Amino acid sequence: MNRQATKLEDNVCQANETKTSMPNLSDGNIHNDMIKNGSELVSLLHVLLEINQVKYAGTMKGENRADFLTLTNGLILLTENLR
Amino acid sequence: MSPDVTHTSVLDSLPESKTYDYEMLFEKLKNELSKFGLTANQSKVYLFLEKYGSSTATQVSKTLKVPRTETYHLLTNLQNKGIVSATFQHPIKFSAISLDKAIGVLVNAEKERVKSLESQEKNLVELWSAIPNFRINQEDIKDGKFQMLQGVNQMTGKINDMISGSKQSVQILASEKDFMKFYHTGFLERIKDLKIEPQFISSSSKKTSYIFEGRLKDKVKRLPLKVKEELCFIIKDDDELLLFMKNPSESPQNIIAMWTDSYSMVYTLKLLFAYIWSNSRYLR
Repeated sequence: MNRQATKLEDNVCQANETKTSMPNLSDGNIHNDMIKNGSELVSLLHVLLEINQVKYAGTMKGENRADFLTLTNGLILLTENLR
Repeated sequence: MSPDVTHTSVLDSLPESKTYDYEMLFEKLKNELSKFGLTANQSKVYLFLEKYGSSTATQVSKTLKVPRTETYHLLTNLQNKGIVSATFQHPIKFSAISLDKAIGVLVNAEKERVKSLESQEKNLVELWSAIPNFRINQEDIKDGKFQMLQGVNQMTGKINDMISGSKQSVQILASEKDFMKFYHTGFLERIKDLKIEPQFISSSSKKTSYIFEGRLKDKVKRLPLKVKEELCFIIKDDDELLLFMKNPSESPQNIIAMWTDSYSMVYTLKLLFAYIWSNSRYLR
């Protein structure tokens, strides 16, 4: 995964700790700014999903892992269709 | 059944015989009855008595090729369940109540069992609270938790929990078929009654748009065609996510869903929902 992905992963981790680092989706202004740029947002979603997949699949075993990969692969495929 | 009857039944017919089809039906029923708490042999004995009429334990044992001691146990268990009765004569003859009545009896017994479990809940919780915690590591789990749920019942329970626990919003992206299920299970009605902000993205057609009544009418947008119908997810507030990915060839009991309160997963799916929402048209 590229440098951008690593940076985003740091953001996600930080957000987990503080729950304030990531823009709040309930805030209309930030939300609107984010979705204005569709293609960039879809790329961001793609990266976030991949990060989540890598991050959590590593902590799972057996059937849970396989099911989780199926679910997240489906979502990653969806973001590719949204481009 | 007369005492000199030959000890055969449709339960052991040959594939080429006429009764083979009946045997297949017996098998199917046997499997169905397992859902009502009967073991394979209990179902076998019950179905035999229901179709062949009253019989002695020896006749049941010989015809079904079940050891005699086990047959007595099975007959006693079926009597205890209230779906088989015995005569006072000698030799004792056993008879079964009709299938529809038997199902009623079994369902009522399950209902009573659930009621009794519910009544025990308070006592158990009180008892449990009396025991102190012995946790060594008292740190909170910061990175969230997950559960892989399988089957419709597990998911219905989880959706119920999520809806009743929601304080601000419930966002659902689902197919027309899924929304129909949510409607029939009363989820939409419950969401309507809560003081929360719902947002739905659905492939519902005009034909089924009646499910979004009252204040829900303005909260539905159309699912874009490029989003697969198999996808379904529910987000509660900013903290819980239930994600399904259905395989149309699988039975509802095999559907897998993941529930998580991982902030990064919830955040990502909220972002996805927001993006699809902003690019979709209202259903109305």
